[in-house]
Amino acid sequence: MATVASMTKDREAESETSPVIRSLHQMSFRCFDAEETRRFYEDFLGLEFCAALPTTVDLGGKQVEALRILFRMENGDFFSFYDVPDDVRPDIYQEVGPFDSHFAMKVPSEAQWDIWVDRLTKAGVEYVGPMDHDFIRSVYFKDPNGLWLEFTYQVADHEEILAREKAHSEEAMRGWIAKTGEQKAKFKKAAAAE
Amino acid sequence: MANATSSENAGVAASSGRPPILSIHHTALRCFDAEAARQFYEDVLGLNFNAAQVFDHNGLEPVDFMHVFFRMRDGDFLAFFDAPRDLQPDFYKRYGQMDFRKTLRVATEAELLDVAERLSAAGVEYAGPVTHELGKSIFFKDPDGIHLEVLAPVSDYEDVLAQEKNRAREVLAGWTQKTAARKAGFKRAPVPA
Repeated sequence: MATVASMTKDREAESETSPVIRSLHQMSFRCFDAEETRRFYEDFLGLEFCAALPTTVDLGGKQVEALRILFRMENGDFFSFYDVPDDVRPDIYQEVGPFDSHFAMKVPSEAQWDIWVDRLTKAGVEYVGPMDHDFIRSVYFKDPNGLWLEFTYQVADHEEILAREKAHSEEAMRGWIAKTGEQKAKFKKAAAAE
Repeated sequence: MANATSSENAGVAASSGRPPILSIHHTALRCFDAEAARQFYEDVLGLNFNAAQVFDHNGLEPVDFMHVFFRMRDGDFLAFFDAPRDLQPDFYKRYGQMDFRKTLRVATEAELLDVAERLSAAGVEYAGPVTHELGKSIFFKDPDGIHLEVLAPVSDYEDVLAQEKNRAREVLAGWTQKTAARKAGFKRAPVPA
């Protein structure tokens, strides 16, 4: 049984390695239309539609009206969107591929992930995958704004796999720098010369 | 489910066959240089550098890339792709703050100031702290030009959100009516049901 002294020591040790950054509070994006985005994030994905905040935003030096909407996940964090009707950009993310950016939504289990894949299929949503990433499994699909989303779940040995990854992450980075450093240095030099 | 609370909402989601979405397990964004991202997210912001995976295939096509993962305290990740065959150092210049922004949460204002001090010590410029409805925030950019915010919630954060939730549907309905004409004429795919 842990003594008070040893528990205090454990907490101190933890605070030394625990990041002060707790979580990703929100990703903020532009949306084409707040109601269209609500239908997807609330009605289809089941997130909690928890705020619609009228605001003004700067558009090239001019203040214009906007609506910011928030959708909440189970951990309390959000997807956030700005609807700016005087600057409608329906294709803002259309050129962005899944390997430029994607946002992986975590579900509790493989069985529940299977249900989501089935729901995507039945709703006629095109998806990429499933892909096996060792510590997680993934499918990728787009929201109405063209953002790439992912459904993922953590496999049973998620933490063990991550511990192994962590153990050789620094070595992997050194190897990568050796392999690609010169190419990037040339690129930076060329960019600086332009 | 119009007036459901968060926990009721989870129940409704379950009964309608929709499994709950817990959190964003990771964001995965392209970066110019994985080591520059590491120096920023590990050395400056203090996240755990948890994985650096080298691949020669992305699941769709052959491509050499590194996938790096930085872990936050709650266990989720900020991840990046470094694919040297397609270097685009200005990729994020196209985005303003409201187009593409990551907001990171700390617990207290003291922690917010701690992050601000780390940024200053590393020579990273930031704006703020700015006080707003949900808390206090500072704003800055990562080495790739991605807009970042660090937010410390106000003490009555949940009360503020509950009040906003009460009027959200009415505000949205009014907004939709008001702005419909400006959205007309654009062809959109149907939203899945």
